[in-house]
Amino acid sequence: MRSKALLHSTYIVSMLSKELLIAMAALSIVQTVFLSMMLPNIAVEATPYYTGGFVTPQIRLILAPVLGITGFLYAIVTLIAAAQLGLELERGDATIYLSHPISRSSYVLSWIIASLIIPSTMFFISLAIPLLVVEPRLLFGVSGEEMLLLVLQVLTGGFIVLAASLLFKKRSLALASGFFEYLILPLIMTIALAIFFSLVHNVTPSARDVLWLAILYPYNYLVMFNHLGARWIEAAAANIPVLLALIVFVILYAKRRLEVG
Amino acid sequence: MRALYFEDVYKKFGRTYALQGATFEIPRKVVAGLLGPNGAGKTTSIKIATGLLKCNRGKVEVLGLDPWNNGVEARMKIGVLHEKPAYPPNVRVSKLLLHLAKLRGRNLREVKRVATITGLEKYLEAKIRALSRGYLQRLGLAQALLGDPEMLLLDEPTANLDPLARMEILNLIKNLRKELDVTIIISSHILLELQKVCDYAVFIGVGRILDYGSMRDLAGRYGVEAILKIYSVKPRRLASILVREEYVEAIEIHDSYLIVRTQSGYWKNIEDKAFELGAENVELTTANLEDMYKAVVSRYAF
Repeated sequence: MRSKALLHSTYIVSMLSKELLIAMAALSIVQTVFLSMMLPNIAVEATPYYTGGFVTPQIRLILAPVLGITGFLYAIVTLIAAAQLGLELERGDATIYLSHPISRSSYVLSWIIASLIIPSTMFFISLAIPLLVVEPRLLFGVSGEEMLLLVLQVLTGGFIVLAASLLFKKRSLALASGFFEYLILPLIMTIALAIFFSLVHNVTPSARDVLWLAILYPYNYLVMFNHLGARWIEAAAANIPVLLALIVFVILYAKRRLEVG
Repeated sequence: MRALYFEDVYKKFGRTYALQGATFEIPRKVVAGLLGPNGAGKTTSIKIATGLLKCNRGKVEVLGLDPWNNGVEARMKIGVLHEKPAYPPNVRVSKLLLHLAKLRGRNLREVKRVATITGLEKYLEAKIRALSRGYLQRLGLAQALLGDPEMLLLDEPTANLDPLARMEILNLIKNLRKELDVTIIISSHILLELQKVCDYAVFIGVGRILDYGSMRDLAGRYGVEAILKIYSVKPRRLASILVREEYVEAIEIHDSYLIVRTQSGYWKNIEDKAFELGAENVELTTANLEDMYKAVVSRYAF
């Protein structure tokens, strides 16, 4: 099963639109080059200091936006790539592939590899060179653990798009689900959160009060509530079961329920 | 042994039943027609047989395997041409075929083999979007032939084609049967076309199986005109005697054989008489499918 999934994922990668691949490659190159060029400055100028246990290198003011932009692009590219499964099911190409000896679960596994695992790996590789040389806190003002949360968050969004592709068999709905989850829902949740705490509690929430936010947005949770004592391990612990449930749902749905044609 | 077996199969889409208790079997090494009007359940049957759809109830066997639960093993043994197949438009023909061949553990040599059989050699490096309808259908046949399948399922193989392309595809199917010795199941609502290639038929009407069997059996059962091909070294002499028989409706004389049209109830008499007069071989090539279809539908009218 694994070999057919790998074989088909290689084919999918070659099939994904050139724009997506170029965007991912450009993203990786820009990030690597940019961060590598910053290394001498970081080495000389970075003067980290502590403010209540929170590391704040001055250089962060410059590098954090870089990560913000590349992280955002990484998420968008991943969601669009995952939604191509919806297009394949909608257009009917899937019927051709699944009429040959590849199981439904291998077919979906190949999409997981091609649209989620490969972009995530590329994103990590693009960080590898600077991270090998410089301590991540100096580079970003964020830790390696937070990078892990970013990947977990994007993977969660990616699996939501894959699940929507399987359920609706439409790229537009899959993409809409992904963008709603990634861009709009956190905004709605944040506003709701603010209204709730200001009207009902009339107090500032603690990180524990809003830990539930981490089930879908572990990275956002940590960034937003770091000053309230939010810990990455709590965010990961809240997100990982949800992510695993999404993975199991996607694989089991493909194996038992996925009908094409 | 059976090539395809459906037992009390139900398939529902929303509130509509596409198949309602469908039961039939198709033996190996025949060219079988799945015949019925649009919406009868032919495509659904083929998709269930391929393991692309799961039946709500009933039992399906494809070459002895359950296509939903043992899909990989079953699909290794079958090739499918879908009605109106969708291909990735920006991919080259060779790339798609090579990938599908690899899924069957084959390589570029297999791609070249099926391209030769289907006449696609010149278009291997073309992008799929550049192919005409006729060549898209050849591509469909080519991918169905990958890996030497034991059974071919062809869903409306001539749909949406111009008359010339239709003839080409039908001739291709005829040649496949001769050269590859595979079981071929063709779904179509164009009876005249199937008449030329089928020796077994399954009649479907609105999700229900009306009847099925070899053309010979069905012709006898429904009393429709049968067509016999009689091989003889002296076809003219044989024709001059047979033409006197009252149940012979028409005779065509060819160099080494006769085509005799007769009422189905009498085809056995013709066969006996022909052998008596020194015929080398007698084949019931086909019965008139249109008449047979009318007879079946009128018997099982809902």
